[in-house]
Amino acid sequence: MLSAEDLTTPGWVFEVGRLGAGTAVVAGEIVPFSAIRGIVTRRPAVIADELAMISADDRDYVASEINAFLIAWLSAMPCPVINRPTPTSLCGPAWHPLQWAAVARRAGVPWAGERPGGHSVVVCGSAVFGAVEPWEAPALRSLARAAGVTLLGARVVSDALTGATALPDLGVEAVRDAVLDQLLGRRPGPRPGQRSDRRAVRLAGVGVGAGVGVGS
Amino acid sequence: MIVLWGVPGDGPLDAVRAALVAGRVDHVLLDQRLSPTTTVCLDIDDAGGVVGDIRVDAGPHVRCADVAALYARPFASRETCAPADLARAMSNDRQLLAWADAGDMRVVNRPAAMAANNTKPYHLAEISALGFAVPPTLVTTDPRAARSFWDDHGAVIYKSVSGVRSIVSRLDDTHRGRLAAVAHAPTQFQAYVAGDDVRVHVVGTEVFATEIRTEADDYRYASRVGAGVHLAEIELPADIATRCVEMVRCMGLLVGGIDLRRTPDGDWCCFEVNPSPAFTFYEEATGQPIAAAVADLLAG
Repeated sequence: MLSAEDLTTPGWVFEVGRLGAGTAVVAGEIVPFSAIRGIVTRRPAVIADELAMISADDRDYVASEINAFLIAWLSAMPCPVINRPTPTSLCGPAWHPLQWAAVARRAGVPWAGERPGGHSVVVCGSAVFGAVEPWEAPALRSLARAAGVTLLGARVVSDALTGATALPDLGVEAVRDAVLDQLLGRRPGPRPGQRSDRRAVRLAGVGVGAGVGVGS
Repeated sequence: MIVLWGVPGDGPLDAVRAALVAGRVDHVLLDQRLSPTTTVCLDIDDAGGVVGDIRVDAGPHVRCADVAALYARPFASRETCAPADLARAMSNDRQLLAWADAGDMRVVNRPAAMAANNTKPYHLAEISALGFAVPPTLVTTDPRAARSFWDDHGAVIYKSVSGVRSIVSRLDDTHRGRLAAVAHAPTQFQAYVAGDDVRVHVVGTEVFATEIRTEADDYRYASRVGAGVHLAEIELPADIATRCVEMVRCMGLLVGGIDLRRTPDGDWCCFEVNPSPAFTFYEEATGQPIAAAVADLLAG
């Protein structure tokens, strides 16, 4: 688990365009970039309040520096990164609902404004979890493609999506397995003894996350 | 209709507005300071287009459908309003930024395309991929790596990784004992590239090149170190001009301020593309009609 503290620890070496000799700090240990097989990012940003080890006057600045660095590093790493960052978020697009609506409708995905109730659906690569109606899985895949992400969650109310996030909950084992499949380049499929993908999934809000996960 | 969004008194915004007035081009100013008294009501139609309107109390009423072009020079919301008004201002500003990204009008520049400049190493990789040489660049929390990079390159500068406090300074002997401080945060070092600074403003397909001569490490802050700055219009080699236009286009920008350096060997190195350039500094010194070009671009 890569934490905010690791970003203020000696050992990070990142040269633009020359990753070969680069090193990261993960859980306090120096790790060559070449030893990292995949990265799952579970937060949109490092925030200043986490940086208790930095003097209070400098925390906002250091948080900006850390986020700017992580975006460059996560973009450059050759291993699978779920989700790749955008220049404004560490884990995929951090869009306003208006932008999600525009992207969805331009991709032909049914989208409605906020409505109560409904269920959550998660797509990871080609695997879709929690879909109830046949249209939902292709719609989620289309939206993920349009958003340029591997992992995407959405809320479905009757015949349309009403919200989406690049940071869905990974509480369901099947979703976690699908993420692992993507990281390891495995074909998706149920594990022995595992139920099918029609299990309810919860949708986490953006801002929830416990660190940058690095599988090495 | 052309919409200008920003704060009056901002040099580029005022200059573009003056050019539109001089050309008798219809336009509306959305004064960001009035955001707390503005009602923004936007939605997405079935085809994915932005619809709705923006109403400023005792001010302009903008229908999105009528907007052909937007010049966006917003400041951080907290810099434009009283703390008591901040929540409403931020909510409105976020909607307007979303409109600037999702709307189908011409936008100088779309926020999503501008954001890459806030992470300098990411931005450098983007520039390199688009064909310009960039300086060797290290980001590190390791004092030994910083020292080694300095030894390898002889002359080295440091500057922010993000767009915050981004002033360029050259390492000198006074920094030897301070390198241990890089352990506290990722710090960016770049090999110093000798040569003459050239700022290139690309406006659509138009190119305005300005040579800058100064003794300061960062000519933008030359006065702080008592150095002078001399600016002069120059003509770029055709292939470099073409490459500049293409780079700005590929970054999704309509206007960009490119920082180049021409080395004594005649090579060209690119440091960054400013997506919201303060071009009036160059225009006032050289007379290059950059604001008029931006106004023409907005007017289509």
